[in-house]
Amino acid sequence: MGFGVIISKESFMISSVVKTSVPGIDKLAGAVQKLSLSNDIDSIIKVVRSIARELTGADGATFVLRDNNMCYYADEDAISPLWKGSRFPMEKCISGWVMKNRKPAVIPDIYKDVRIPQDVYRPTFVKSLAIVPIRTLEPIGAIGNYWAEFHLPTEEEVSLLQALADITSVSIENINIRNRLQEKLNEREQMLSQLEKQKEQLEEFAQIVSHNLRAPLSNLILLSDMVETSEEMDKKLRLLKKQNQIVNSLHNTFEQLVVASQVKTDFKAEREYIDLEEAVLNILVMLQGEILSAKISVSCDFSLAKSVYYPGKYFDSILLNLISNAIRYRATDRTPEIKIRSWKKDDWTVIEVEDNGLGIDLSQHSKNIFKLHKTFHGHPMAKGYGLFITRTQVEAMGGTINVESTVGKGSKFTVQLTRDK
Amino acid sequence: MKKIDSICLVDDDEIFQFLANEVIKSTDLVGKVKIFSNGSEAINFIESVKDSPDELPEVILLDLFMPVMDGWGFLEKYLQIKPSLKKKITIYIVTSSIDPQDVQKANSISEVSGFVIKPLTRDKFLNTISLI
Repeated sequence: MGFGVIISKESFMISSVVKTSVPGIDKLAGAVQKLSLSNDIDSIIKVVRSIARELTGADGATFVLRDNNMCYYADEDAISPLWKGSRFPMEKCISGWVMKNRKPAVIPDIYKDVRIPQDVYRPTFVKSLAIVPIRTLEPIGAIGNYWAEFHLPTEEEVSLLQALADITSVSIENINIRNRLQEKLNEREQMLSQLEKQKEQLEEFAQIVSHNLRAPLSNLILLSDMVETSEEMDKKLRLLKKQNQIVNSLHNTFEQLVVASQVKTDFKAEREYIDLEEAVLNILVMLQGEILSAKISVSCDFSLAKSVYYPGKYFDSILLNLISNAIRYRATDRTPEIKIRSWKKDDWTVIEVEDNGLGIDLSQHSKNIFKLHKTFHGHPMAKGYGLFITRTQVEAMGGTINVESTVGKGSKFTVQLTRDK
Repeated sequence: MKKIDSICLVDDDEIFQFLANEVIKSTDLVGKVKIFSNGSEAINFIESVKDSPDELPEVILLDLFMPVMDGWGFLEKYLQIKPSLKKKITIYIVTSSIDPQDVQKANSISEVSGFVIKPLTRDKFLNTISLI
């Protein structure tokens, strides 16, 4: 066999066992060491492209990755540019042939081999080449060596190159496994922290249930005790009239606890694209009676973030609660103002509701403001519930809620809704 | 049993205010019952009459969870003004909390003479004031 003959596939089947070449083996050993320290594909490619060239003394080396049906020339190290960054169809590229046939290709004269697309090679220095597949079973790429003079790559050169490709494939596999493990680990950690959060909320919830039901219940017990022991009919009647009030408050408390417990379990609410202006306007229409009668000035600015991918019912409930709080706790000595705006912060969509109302003494309540706290008696609609539910909804979607407030000046609630994926 | 001139009831629950008032009056052992809806109202009153022993209460029944200023906040302020008060006041916490942490915290404050868990029945009330 010589130049000018189409080389049959079988005649160049070369085993990847390295026979004798002490300098070659040394270089390979060096490659193994460097590859074992590589943490990602990019650094593997860097190591391989330079070692591949050194290993055989070639004038150029390429690192090709399979990208579906294309051969992607990811990197190269050569005396003059080859095809770095280019993509060629598998069937029109010799590295594609290597990957498809899962064996090396050795071509001493590129002008005499039908597998070589002449137009691609003519502008380059290449006269001879040897290409080996990375991972023989199901190749994920190829390593190419190129010579500027006609050169018949020796059996040894090809087997060194194949050994390098085998090591490369092991290294890439390792990185893939490591990445998959890391991903699983991250997933687990996320689940764990969510579970912990839920456990904390449940404990909090159990404590609140007992407290908030205990207060009206103890009143009821005391009342019936007094009804029983009082002797005058008049007094009995007077006491009995109070019973209704207690039962109502008991019922209210119970209903609110039911609502709160439903929010907790509904972690899989469906997301949709929400037009912020439209959604907030709908909420303002719901509240327009109060807004008009209290002469509240409401301004909105959604120019910096126009929409959000979020569960609609959560969005409505969060905004409804924040805006109604701003209305309920307005100051009476000045024109009440509510400002609602949105923007992007990093990947987050943020929405803010600011008022110039009564404000909250955060030094007393900062830790508790978003907790389901023990409701203050006689305030069935006390803000404890609303903000707790709001916080639960925000957190269920992975967001955060914060408050800044000054007594006598107003409050500002900032909600990081969700992150763009 | 010894009579008590006046009692301050500090609790935001209107129904409890009404019931406790009825219970206290039914014993015929207490002269005056003054009612406040939070710690802040109570502390303001005490400060305003700190020099007149006749106006100061003998006993305070204090709830823990209240808006504006809760029971703990009241105790904190009370400790500050106590040296200037012209009368010995006995404080009981009256709450529906059964949280051991609350009981522990109350016990650690020397000004708190007892921890009463609601409902404040007549018997419980009599028991409590008999200790004074």
